[in-house]
Amino acid sequence: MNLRTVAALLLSLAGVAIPVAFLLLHYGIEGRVLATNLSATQFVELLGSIVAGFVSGLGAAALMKSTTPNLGQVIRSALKEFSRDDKATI
Amino acid sequence: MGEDEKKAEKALETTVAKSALEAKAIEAASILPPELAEMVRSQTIINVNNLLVQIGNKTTDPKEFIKDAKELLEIAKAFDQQRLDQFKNHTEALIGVKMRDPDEIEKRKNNRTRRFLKYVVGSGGVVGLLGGIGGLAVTGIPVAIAGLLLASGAVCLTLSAVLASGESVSTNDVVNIVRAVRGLAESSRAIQKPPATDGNARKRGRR
Repeated sequence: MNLRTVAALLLSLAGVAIPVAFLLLHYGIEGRVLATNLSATQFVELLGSIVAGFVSGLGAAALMKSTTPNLGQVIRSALKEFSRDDKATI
Repeated sequence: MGEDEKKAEKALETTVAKSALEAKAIEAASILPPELAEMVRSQTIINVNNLLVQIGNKTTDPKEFIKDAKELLEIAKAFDQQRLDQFKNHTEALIGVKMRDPDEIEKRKNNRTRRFLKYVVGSGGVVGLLGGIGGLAVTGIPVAIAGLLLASGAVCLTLSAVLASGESVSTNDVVNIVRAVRGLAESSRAIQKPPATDGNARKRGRR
């Protein structure tokens, strides 16, 4: 198992573990909710967990299947694009 | 009249024999990989037509012609069968070598594992997301469990979408996805924002 696969696995785990840990801290293990009684905050939190999973899954897939040999280059490019300021560049 | 019949019979025999051979070649070519099909096509097929013309030139007796033509067709059939058998043996030998090749064995094993992982990840994604949504909608499961199911479902679904495509993901693809997500957020912000200038200001600007 190479470094890239380990990083992808860790990223996937982090994408699941972070939102779950947040929900556990916030609601505890017994905090139950039904879809009909879902408040806006709870909806946003659950949506956030889906988005976190999506982002980490995307990152993990990109790491696993990237044609770029350098792991750092993949992360740098993604971060650079994410932090790019359109107003400054135009 | 007798000559006409002879000609018609000859033409029929020729056409039948030729089309049978061609059909065999086409059938063999259609079920084979492209490179082997090309090999089959490139191999010479007995031109029964020419041989029948030669027999027709040598004999004047219709019965003798039919007898000779039948013999010729039998020989052509046997030759064609032999050629096909030879080709089959050759292909089987090639496949046998390929099956025993350690690289090929490893490649097949990897492909099997990859396929299995693809199914696991895909089904995990569907089960996770449906379980999370269904649990919230029907049973009122704990929020943390719902979050766990939803997040793992999202991870699996995203992974399966990328892995199942079979394409490599380059850095540019990641950048394009991030750019698309940014664009989505910006466009939704632009829709909510009221227009900065009215119609008259735009007209004034044009002048």
